Amino acid sequence: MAASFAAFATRRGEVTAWLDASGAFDPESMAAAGVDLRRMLWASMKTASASRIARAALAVGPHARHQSAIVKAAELVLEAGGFGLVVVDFGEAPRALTYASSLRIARAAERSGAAVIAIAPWRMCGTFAALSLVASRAETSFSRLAPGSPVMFDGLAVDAMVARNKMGGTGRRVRVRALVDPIAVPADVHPQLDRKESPAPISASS
Amino acid sequence: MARIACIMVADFSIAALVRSNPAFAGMVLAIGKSLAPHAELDAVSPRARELGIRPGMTIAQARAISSELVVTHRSPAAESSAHAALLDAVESVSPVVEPGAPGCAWIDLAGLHRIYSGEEEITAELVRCVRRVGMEPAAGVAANKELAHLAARCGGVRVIEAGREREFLNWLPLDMLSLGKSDRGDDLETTLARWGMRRLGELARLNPDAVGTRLGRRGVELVRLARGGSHAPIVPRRRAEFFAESVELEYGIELLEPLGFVMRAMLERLAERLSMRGLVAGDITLAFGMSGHRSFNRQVAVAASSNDVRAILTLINLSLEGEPPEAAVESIRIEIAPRVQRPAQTDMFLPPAPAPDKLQTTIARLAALCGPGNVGMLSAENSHRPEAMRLDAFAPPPAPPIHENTPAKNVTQLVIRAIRPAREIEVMCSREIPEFVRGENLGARVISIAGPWRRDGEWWLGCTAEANPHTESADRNSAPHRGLELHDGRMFGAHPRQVSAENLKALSSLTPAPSPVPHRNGASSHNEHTGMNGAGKCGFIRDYYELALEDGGVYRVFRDLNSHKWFLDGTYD
Repeated sequence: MAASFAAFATRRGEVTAWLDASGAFDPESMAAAGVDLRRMLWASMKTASASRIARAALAVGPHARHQSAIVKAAELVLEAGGFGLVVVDFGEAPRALTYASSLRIARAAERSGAAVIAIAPWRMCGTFAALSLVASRAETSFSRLAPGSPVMFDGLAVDAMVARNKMGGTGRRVRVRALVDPIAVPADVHPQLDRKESPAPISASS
Repeated sequence: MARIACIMVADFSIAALVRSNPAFAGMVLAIGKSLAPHAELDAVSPRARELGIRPGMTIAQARAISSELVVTHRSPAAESSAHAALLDAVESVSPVVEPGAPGCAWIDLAGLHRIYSGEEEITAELVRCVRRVGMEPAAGVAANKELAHLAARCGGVRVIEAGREREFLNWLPLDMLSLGKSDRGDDLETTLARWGMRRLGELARLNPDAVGTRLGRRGVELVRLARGGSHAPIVPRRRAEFFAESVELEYGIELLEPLGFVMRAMLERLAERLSMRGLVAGDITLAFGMSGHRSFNRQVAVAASSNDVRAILTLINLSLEGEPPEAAVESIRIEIAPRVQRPAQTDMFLPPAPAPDKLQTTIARLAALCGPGNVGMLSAENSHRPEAMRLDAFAPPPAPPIHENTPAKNVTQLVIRAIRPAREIEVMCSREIPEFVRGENLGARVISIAGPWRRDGEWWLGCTAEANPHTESADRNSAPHRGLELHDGRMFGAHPRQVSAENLKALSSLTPAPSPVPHRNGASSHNEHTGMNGAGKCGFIRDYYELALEDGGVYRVFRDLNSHKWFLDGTYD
């Protein structure tokens, strides 16, 4: 979903940033998802905890330093201004941000007019997030074109639930299909995916 | 009529020392030929001059006047840097600048009246620029270089209007000129004093031919100078290709932290010089002079040009931490290759973009935070290795015109969360089909499987021919394998999804049988694993699978057929 937002933003000509805490950014699949990589500033924070700046920070311990470095990087990008979207991928097992860090990022995002997406296994920004989506894998689709033909992985169906929205609508759900080849794969290849539900589409503006 | 300005810094050697070490500012300072008590002073600071200390006194005599006197050596490095800074400062006002003696420069004012309202304003701007680089100048404006120099030597700011040169020269004492010696070797100062000459106006009234008869060529030149008749043209200097600051330290520095403290001040001065010229800092060259007459050179690549001193210093520190100097540093020279700031034209109807200078500064700071190789525009490398990536400098192109928004869909392209480097896992197989996966934070039964999709390539790099001809010949014997591979090294078939999992058996029969012994280059499995991750030259051959595990996750894994190990390549979420 974050890749979809980034693709939407870059198609509009906005400059975006992807802060990659765990080195999980895959440019090939991002480009396939429609992200204009020329408009995406990528920064890997994988080794940031060892950097001099992070060590100079007050945080003690590598995890805290790593987290501080991510927050610092997000603030730097937001301070520059002109970025339409900043995606912060916190990786697999991050610590929740402190109130002070969340507040700083929220204020910086407000000042620069940028949208900030935090990707993490759990809520990171607490009450400072304008919108919190909980995405859970609903279905996994494998299929064969014909009996005896090879099994192919078609994609996933993900349920996204609005856990918190300052504009209202908490509790709404939408099913998003993330497919390996959303154009070429015919509709009847995914019989198990329910195409009738989820009338509310997800777009970057939401 | 030409108008020339002269900018001069009085007591330049003292001013250069104070500029490189601001702690000297306001001190009773003098430069001695040596530090011995009988050594004479070469130059003294304004404060010392106020107290009555003069050049030519011995250090002992000067100390008798003021016990606070600090005597130090002349610093050629500081003087060189200060002179370059002076030229940069005045070049930010006019492009035609001729360097003079250290601490002196001439500037052609032709054409500047279009920018400035008058010569006073130009002179004030010149003085302001020189003050920005840490020196207090005097300025003179006149019709030629010599007159402008004489006007600057009078101190302060002095503009000699056209036609009033004789009026200015008449009252000037003769010792404002460096008189030198006549052709016969006589001291001209003594000779002219014997003639009763005290001022330039008196010299100007003499007949040049008669003076030439008595004093030779130098005498004629002096009369011409005294009449304000020189018309030597300005010879402009070439544009600087790099900006440099040098410092000679009194004591060697062994630790990086105090070294950074010294370099910060140097970088601040360089950033000021660059910003005055409308430039930003590019790549940096460090040259350290170390104890034992050793030297240390280091190139520091700057990911994004910026004048942000903190970011540049962090990059330098990162570089030095990786490989610090081996001995105490006694002199520092920092050279910066200037770059022109990228101009940008914003559009009212397009989304806003970061300002180029702010973007460059941000990238430089991010590079300092994350490491220089971790910031930029990441894209897939044109390589046969799936994990190959390419990092370029981030320079977003102008925004395209916005078309109508495509309606939002709830179908998107699946994006993988890559795991780099691929994490080794353990896969239990039954008849070559994965059944159970175990690894770091992973352990579940396989419930669905797609694949294998074979990817191989780079076998043509052929490191085996030299390393192990025997195994290479064994590979050549497996001709069907070569015949089936796509020669561009990409996946089998037109699309990876067209390769059947049921064809696994057939593929296995065509592929060289995996052997527990070293495969291609005779290297151990550990070395081949290193090669698998991109460092090796012996090619790769992998079978990729998409596995849905019982824990609900969907993973992309591959089996490296060189090392017979399994790796977790990414997750789908």
